[in-house]
Amino acid sequence: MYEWQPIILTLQLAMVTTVILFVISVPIAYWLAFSPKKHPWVEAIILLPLVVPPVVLGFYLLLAFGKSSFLGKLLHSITGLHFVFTFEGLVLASLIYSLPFMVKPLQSGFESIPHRWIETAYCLGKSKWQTLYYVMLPNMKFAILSAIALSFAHTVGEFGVVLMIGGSIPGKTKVASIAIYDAVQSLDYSLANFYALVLVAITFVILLCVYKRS
Amino acid sequence: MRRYFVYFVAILVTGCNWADDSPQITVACAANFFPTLRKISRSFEQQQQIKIHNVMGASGNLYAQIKSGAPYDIFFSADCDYPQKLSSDNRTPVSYVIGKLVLWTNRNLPMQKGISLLTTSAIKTIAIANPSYAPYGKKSKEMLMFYKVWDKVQPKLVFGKNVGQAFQFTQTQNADIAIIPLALAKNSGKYWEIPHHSYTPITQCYIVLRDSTLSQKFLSFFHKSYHTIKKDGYDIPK
Repeated sequence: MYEWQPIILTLQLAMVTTVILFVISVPIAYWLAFSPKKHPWVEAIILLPLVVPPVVLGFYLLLAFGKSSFLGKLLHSITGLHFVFTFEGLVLASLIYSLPFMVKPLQSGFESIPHRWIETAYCLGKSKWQTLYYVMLPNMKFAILSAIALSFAHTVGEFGVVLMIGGSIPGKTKVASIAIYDAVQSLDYSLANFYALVLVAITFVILLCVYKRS
Repeated sequence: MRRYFVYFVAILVTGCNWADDSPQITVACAANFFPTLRKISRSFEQQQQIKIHNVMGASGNLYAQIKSGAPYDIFFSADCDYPQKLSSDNRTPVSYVIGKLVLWTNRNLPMQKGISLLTTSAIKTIAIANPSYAPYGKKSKEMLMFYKVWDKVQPKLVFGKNVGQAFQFTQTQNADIAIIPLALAKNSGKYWEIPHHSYTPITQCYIVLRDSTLSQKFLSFFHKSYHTIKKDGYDIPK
């Protein structure tokens, strides 16, 4: 029988990444959307993971967060975690890798909200937090939904980064895309087909749900 | 500004049309042997005015590409299984080198301890090529099973997609030690050669996919270059 473990691992990775990413990205997107100044540097840096080839990103993450690097040691001394060859490492890499797919839709969501709604909320004595929670977020549901769906699907499809820092350890870092690669390499095309089909089905259903609800 | 952009596009487009009619062949090669093959190709080119395109990849990838009609003239595999699968009545695999496995590290470890070093607590992570498909990975597993340490070291193993990545994991000090071919280990760090009786010989084969005078010329030159091949850490099959 086929192993389901890589598929489950992929879904776990995508789920954890998406949740953390959402929490990080709302403030970033809010700041970018409502800051009186433009921030071309920040915008460019956030979009960078979109254009840098994933393998390159993975390689430099390996160098930057490796066990012998400064950042890697710092991370280890603070959290006790190693970055390479661990699930936590994959989460961290996926956060960077999928960041633009979360921030960008959220940012345009914030920008699409008419200013007078926000001002009305302020005039009625609502705080910034209340305005965010009761006025802005409910009125940009579609943006939130597509941000979540895009980051989730993008993380599911992640390959190059994981290839570079994962080490293909079953149950820890052998996600579905790596399992597909391994299966193709060992000429086990039926296994590769199985994983690919499941992945496509899952991501397709997710995207379908998003666009049906909109 | 726009005018420069038009020039730029025009240059790009016309640049693609530099057709090259000089004689050339394309040689696909497994990652582990690629540096050696490239050296031989360069000296062949200097001598012969024939262009050699070297394509590097994992043997399994190259095999799949050839199956789908990739235009390679010769395929240098990291084993003999893939060439065997491609053989037919008028083309048969030829063994060209025998590889050797070594333990390699760039850290300060007592390498003379050999295999017993792997089970000590000094080693936390061991990088090998993926044994489910990479030829050298398969041999590494075979060797570890021979020494009856496979079960003990398994929690320490991380798998590179090929020996190059196993090497890279260790070079960047994310793994403590790697099991790789001698050819990769020679230029840096420290290595310990694993006794040959612990694994079946790693014979690498090539197969001629499109026979021509050019590929024959290249192969006869290749077989004369055994100095370069030996210097890079391979044995020549008898």
